[in-house]
Amino acid sequence: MDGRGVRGAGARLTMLVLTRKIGETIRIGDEITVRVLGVRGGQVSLGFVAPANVRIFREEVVRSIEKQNLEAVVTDPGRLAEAARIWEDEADAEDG
Amino acid sequence: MPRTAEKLAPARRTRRNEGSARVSSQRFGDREVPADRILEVPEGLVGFPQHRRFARLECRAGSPFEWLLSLEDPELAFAVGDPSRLVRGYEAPRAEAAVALHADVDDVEFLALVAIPKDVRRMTIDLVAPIAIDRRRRVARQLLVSDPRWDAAVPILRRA
Repeated sequence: MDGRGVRGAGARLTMLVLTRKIGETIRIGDEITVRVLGVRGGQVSLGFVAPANVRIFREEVVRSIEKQNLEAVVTDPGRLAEAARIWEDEADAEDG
Repeated sequence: MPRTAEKLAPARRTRRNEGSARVSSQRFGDREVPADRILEVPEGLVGFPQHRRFARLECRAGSPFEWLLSLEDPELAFAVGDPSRLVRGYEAPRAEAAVALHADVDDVEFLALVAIPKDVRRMTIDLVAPIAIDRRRRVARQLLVSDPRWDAAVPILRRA
């Protein structure tokens, strides 16, 4: 095996480093395959084959979802109650 | 250790609805949550993997807004809403959700996270990462939807 473990910043984080040629694949567990499709300039295209229930996101997308989730954390329950009341009033006004 | 909602007396569990939970929260008070209002979210919401069971609390009777209260820590709650009622023309990704949940399309329903700023009228709903629910098994998953029509902060009121 040409992979090697590298100590990461966190004591328990290790990174396996593998070198692959274009067209070669990496298997993660029994069901996930990652293929190197091409390299151009500083960009690498990767293809993923995984079961439908495995979530595959770009890191920055995960960060933005996290941020949006944080925005929805309730600090003051009264605010949602007020939002609900305003929404009902608007809905009534539009129907009327 | 986080306060859990599962400290219900066993006698109570059998007398009341099977599988219901008693929630005690500073901001939401003491509530008995019936089993059909409890959601399992095996992976948690993105960024909150340690919270896997939630109670759906109605905000007002019949309102499309709800709170999702973590049963692992009842002081953590998310504001959510029914996107089909809150956004005109919203088409929920039902087929995608059915696959992700291994559920029947007809059993799928959606909630989306709602952000309410100080100026409440400027509230928005996140249609990029809706929460898909299998209402039969009461299991949920946060999806990532790549539909150019929807973004993560869609205004709820048209005259915000």
